[in-house]
Amino acid sequence: MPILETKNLSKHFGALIAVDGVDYAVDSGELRSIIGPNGAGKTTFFNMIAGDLIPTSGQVIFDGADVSEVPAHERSHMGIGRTYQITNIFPKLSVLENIRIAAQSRKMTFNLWSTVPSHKELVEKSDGILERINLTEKRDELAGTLAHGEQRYLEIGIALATDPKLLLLDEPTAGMSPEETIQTGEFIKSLADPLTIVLVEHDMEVVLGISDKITVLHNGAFLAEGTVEEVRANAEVQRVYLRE
Amino acid sequence: MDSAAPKNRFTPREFWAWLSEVFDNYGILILAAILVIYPFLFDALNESIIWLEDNDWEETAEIVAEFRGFVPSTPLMIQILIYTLFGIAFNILLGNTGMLSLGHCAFFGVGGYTVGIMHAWIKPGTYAPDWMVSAFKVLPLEISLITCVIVSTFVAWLIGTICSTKRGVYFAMVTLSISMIFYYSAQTFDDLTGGTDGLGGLENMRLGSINLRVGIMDANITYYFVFIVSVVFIAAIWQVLRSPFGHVLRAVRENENRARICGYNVAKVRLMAFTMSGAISGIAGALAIIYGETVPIENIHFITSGQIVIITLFGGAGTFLGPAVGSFIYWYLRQLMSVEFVKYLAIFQYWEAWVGGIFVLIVLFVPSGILGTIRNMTLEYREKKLLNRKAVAEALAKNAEDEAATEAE
Ligand SMILES: Nc1ncnc2c1ncn2[C@@H]1O[C@H](COP(=O)(O)OP(=O)(O)OP(=O)(O)O)[C@@H](O)[C@H]1O
Ligand SMILES: [Mg+2]
Repeated sequence: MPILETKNLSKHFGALIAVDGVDYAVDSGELRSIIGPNGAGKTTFFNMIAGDLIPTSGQVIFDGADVSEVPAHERSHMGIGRTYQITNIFPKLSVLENIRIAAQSRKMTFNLWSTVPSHKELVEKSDGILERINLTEKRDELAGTLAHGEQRYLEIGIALATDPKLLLLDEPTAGMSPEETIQTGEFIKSLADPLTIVLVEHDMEVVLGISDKITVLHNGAFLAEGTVEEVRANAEVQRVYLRE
Repeated sequence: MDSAAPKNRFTPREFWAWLSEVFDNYGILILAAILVIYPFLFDALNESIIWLEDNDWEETAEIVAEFRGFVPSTPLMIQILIYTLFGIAFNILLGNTGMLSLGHCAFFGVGGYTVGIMHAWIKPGTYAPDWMVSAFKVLPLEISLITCVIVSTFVAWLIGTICSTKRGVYFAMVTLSISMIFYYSAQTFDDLTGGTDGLGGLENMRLGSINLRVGIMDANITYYFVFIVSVVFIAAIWQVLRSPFGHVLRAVRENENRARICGYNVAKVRLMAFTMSGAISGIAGALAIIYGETVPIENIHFITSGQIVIITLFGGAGTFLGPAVGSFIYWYLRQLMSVEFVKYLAIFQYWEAWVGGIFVLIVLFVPSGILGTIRNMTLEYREKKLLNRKAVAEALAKNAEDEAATEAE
């Protein structure tokens, strides 16, 4: 059974059709990529899955439940985590606190009587994630002072701290150097399975290197889907996107 | 010089470092100690003047009396304490959640009117039903304060559900408009609230449990009552702000969208913060009517909202005790200008303009407020010291290495 499914999903902004009747399904544990030219509607598609936007029509089905109109914070608790194309962190909180606040959301919101450091498991979990994203040494620095690449990793860490089942990554390598990009690709690969990952990415090397399956969006609509080889061979895709 | 004589323990520099260390560690305790005995200190000052006069030290007495004008009186300290509580409650929103409310006078006023109306009207021969009057020969303050907590929590929750979905300027404007409705209601229902004359007739406020009269008759007792209630609620706010919930507030302030995607119900968090802030502001409002034994309508007027914004920004919205510093400066300056400085320069009677001018200067030049700026400076200084220490240690290590190397040769 797919963990995520969209049925005839559309989003209109006035006259503009950003996403146009997309049917999509992801199986648990897959690492999938979505590619498409600028303005194809990839981010809008993510926004509807994570709950930042409510679809104009169609359905988002997550883990067997229709979540099309469920508020974003509840979807987070159901197991959808995401990162944004433009880095979206808590710049004025410390690196540790960025992760810890995300981890805390799984345990408590309205706890008024204890202190944060007294919840050892939160600190341990956060430290574990900092280790994974290689930011242990910067844990007490303000997140806003990190280098760009480190901030991108921090955001992935924030998403991981909410224990997602499905992780949506919107151009995680945007603005990274070529070496960082390659590293990040490997890092993302290491996260997949049991975690399900959907990746929007412009860097074709990353996409072709790590994806189980690639989906191509064009003008908001589904254009092609298949394994790396199939998509490579698809003439239509070559025409709109892979012109190298 | 005799070498056996004990050396001075401190060089001046060490002394200052020591002093700042002490203040850092025990500053709050020292301040608390001063606040605890404040009424006695002020009484001692008064008595010393009388004593000097009695003993034919007229001139010295005059000098001390002159000096007394510059010492905040106990009633002024009551005011400062109340606005400290009010400011810290207000700052749950402004400094911690990032919501600028311009309507907090509504809570401050509602708290005052709740207690005021109960004490003014639960008496024989007034609006109150007989059973209520016969239940209390004299209404104890405990009952009216508990009612005040309930009423102001409810009102805060109600207003919160209306405005806490708004953001930024819209939030500020909606809170402002709603508070205006409260003001005009207080003016309109003047049978109940006393209207623009204020609500009087509160001359019998006593703590039923220990049978203690508070109010204008005894500034010291009122001071201690206000002090204890304020400290209890300030401590409660302090705990809430360091709790996991407090961290969520800061996350919402920093990046609401990120907080939501992390799984926080931002609307509910904001409503909760608003309700707490409003409820405690209501309690501050109740305390504010006790010493004066009247509810002036200004308490529910926009002026009060403006005051609390100024007080909080004066001291620094980014710090917990900023509103305390702001409250002290605001009321102390106001008192100095309107009572002492006017003696020398008539222009000081327009103290509002002077306070406003100082406010502008602070916003322009020390935007993080007085306490905020001091804290930033201390942090900077510490960092520098740490870096220096590191550099020295490294240099020493290098020296030692070099020496070892030359020796080996
Ligand atoms: N909130 C919005 N209001 C109006 N139009 C929008 C909004 N968000 C996106 N759009 C439009 O919808 C279309 C799809 O945008 P989207 O950001 O989803 O594309 P994308 O595939 O992510 O592009 P990119 O590769 O540049 O990130 C674009 O034409 C964009 O201008
Ligand atoms: Mg995009």
